[in-house]
Parts: sequence; C-alpha cells; structure tokens
Amino acid sequence: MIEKALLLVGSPKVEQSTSASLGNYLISKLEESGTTSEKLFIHRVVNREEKVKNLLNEIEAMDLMILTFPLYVDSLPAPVIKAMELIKDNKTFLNSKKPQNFIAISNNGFPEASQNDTALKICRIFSKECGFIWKGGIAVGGGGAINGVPLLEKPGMFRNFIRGLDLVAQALKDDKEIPQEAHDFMSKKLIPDSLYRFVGNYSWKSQAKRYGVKQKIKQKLY
Amino acid sequence: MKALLLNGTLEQDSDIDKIYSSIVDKLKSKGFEIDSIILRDLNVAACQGCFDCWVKNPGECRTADDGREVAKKMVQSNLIIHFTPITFGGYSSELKKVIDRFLPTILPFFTKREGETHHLYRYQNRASIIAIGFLNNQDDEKELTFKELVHRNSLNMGAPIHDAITFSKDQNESEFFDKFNTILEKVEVKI
Ligand SMILES: Cc1cc2nc3c(=O)[nH]c(=O)nc-3n(C[C@H](O)[C@H](O)[C@H](O)COP(=O)(O)O)c2cc1C
Repeated sequence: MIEKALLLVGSPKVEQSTSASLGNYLISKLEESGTTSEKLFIHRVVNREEKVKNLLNEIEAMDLMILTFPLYVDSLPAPVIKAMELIKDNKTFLNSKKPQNFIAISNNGFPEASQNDTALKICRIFSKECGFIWKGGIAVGGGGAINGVPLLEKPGMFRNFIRGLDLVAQALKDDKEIPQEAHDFMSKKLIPDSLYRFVGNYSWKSQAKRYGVKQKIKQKLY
Repeated sequence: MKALLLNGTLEQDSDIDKIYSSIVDKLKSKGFEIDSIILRDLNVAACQGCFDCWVKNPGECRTADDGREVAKKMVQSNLIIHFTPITFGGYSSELKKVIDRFLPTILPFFTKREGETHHLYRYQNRASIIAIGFLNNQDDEKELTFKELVHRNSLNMGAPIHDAITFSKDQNESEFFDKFNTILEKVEVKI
C-alpha cells in the first residue's frame, strides 16, 4: 500500500503542462486506493529557500515520488536538475527507514518516445544515488498532442495513455515491476511520424501568422 | 576561430580549475579567440517553454538577461566547450540553464535526421562541441550516459564535430589531454 505519494511537476507550464496532465491522472488512480498525495511545481520551488525546505520534508515523508517533466534538449529542464542536486546533497531522507519508491515520466515534443531514454537514464542514476527504489521510467512521445489537456477530457483520443497509466498505477499498488504492456501503450503513436511533422510544421506557421510574424519566422538576428 | 567555453562548475575546486585553465591555454596556443564564461556568475532565467522565440519574436528569447547573450555567442562560435561535473550522467544545472536557452537559435520546423525527428537549423554557422565531464571516481554508467547525451545534443544542435571526454580525479591527466588534443585537431580541420 502506498500511503503517501509526492508528485513533482518539472514543467515551467505548471498546471497547463502535459507533464501535469500525465502526473495528475496517475495520482488520481492511486488516490482511488486510499493514497494521499502532495503536489509541487519544481519551477516554483528551486529558488526559494523555505520552499526547498518544504520539498525536502515532503521527500522524507513519501513512500512514492513521481517526477513528471518535459524533455529539454535531450535531458531534464535546468530547474529539475537543480532540484535533483539539492535533493542529493541533502542526506536526511537517506536515513528514512521505510522503502521509498521513485518513478519518472518524461514527455517530449518529437513523436519518437525513445528520444526520452537518455533523460530517463539520468533519472535512474539519480534514484540510485539517493537510495530510492527505482520503479522505472515512462517515455511519452508527441507530448504536443496532449498539450496540457487533462486526459479524461478527451478519453477517446487519449485512451492509450489512460490504459498505460492504469497499468502503471496497478503495478505500483501491487509493488510489481511496470509491465512492458504499459510502456507500449504510453509510447503508442496517435498519428504516423510523417503526418506529425506535417501537422506540426503547419501549426508553427499558423501560430506565427497569428502574431503577424509569418514572414519573419526564419529570420537571423546574428 | 572562436571558442566559447561554458563552465558549468557549481563551486571553486582547485584541481578542476587547474584543468580548465590548461584547456584555455591549449586553445589559445592553437590560435582560438577565447570567450570563457563561468555560468554560476551569470543571471540566466529558466526557459519558460512558451515558444515565443519561434512564433512571436522569432530568434530571440522574451527574457532579456544573460541567457540571450550566451545564445548569440553560441551562434557566433566555431567551437563550444561544455565543461561540467557529470551530474547523474548529465550536465550540471548551471550548464543546463544556458543549454535550455539555445532554442531561439534553431527553427521550429521538423525534419527527419538519422531516422528521427529533429528541427531545422536557423543559422548556417554551427559550432562543434567538445563536452568535458568530470567525476570523483570512474563510473561506466555515468560516463556512457554522458556520451549518449552529448551525441544526442549534437544532432539537435547540428555540431559538425562532437565528442565527450570524461575524467575522474583518480585518472592520469596526460591521458586526458592526449584525448583532448586529438579531438581538437578534428575540430580544426572542419573550421
Ligand atoms: C527548451 C526546450 C527544449 C526542448 N527540447 C526537446 C528535445 O530535445 N526533444 C524533444 O522531443 N522535445 C523537446 N522539447 C519539446 C518539449 O519536450 C515538449 O513541448 C513537451 O511536450 C512539453 O511538455 P510540458 O507541457 O510538460 O512542458 C523542448 C522544448 C523546449 C521549450
């Protein structure tokens, strides 16, 4: 039984992020079985001393920590790395007698979920250095398709993410390994890669048009 | 020939600082114009993930701080040195804060490269990357992850030449500098 879960959201887009959509859904599934949870947004924590203290206290108290973040240049966003450095440097919770579990969810903009693998390896090493029990890394590609929308708002479109996270939640509750099937659902593509690129390119142009800079989108300033 | 050195150390450390100075000297002796930046002394906000630098103000971050200046320098360099403690297999938070801010220097448009989706480049000139990561003790898992990260970055940043060298304090310094010199020669050929 997971009594206390801590959700760490590592996106600057905070509540409106795809990271939050994925993390919130997973937490809600755990809460159905009586887990209590706490949620912190890393970008609001790392530069404030009293908030860092609170983060460390929450870590000491948790049975499960879920870190959900966007892939930034093949790795984790800088403030998330900063938080990891702070957590590692603070040893108090390493004395915690109870087993503490850790799982990471990385979502990226490119359609290939496998591009998250390096960032998830970094999470695994962090987990080991902090003495947590590594429950695995979940890779989600094409995060732009979720775009911060709560998964249950579009249950049809997001059905694979929902199924995948249901399996993840079950495995965490049963204290089992995350099954391969869960990873397969999470990395399933909504559309073929070539179509994703086509739609994406169209979308960048129309966004630039909205701001009146369509002609300047490729400008060189230096 | 311009070299931009991004020093992502979190604090002063005389052993590491000595290696850094030797790298600077080596580059100078090869005729590089040096721009050495101790990142922890800069004011660089975290990327806000807004994509304004692609669709609202193309090519420039909306945050007017030192991060903008570093992005500009990245575009104007032939070689960028990522100098960092290997942090869980990746970059330190100090180095990563400027790496995240490089987004304005590429285009939003997707293309396929080495079988994967990546972005088109905004600028013709792109710097080679030599990443130098240090550890207290040798650690294969961290070293491999670091190399993988640098390889992936080179695809996203379009580096003509890239390599990652790792060293630990228990390692022979001359071995490290031999590797550095070999890579530097490859970089020079491409400039
Ligand atoms: C600075 C920056 C760097 C990024 N680097 C990558 C990358 O290397 N690979 C990738 O697939 N997506 C990259 N992305 C895209 C994000 O991972 C993607 O938009 C993600 O869905 C955002 O999730 P969020 O809503 O949780 O913040 C990057 C985005 C930003 C702002």
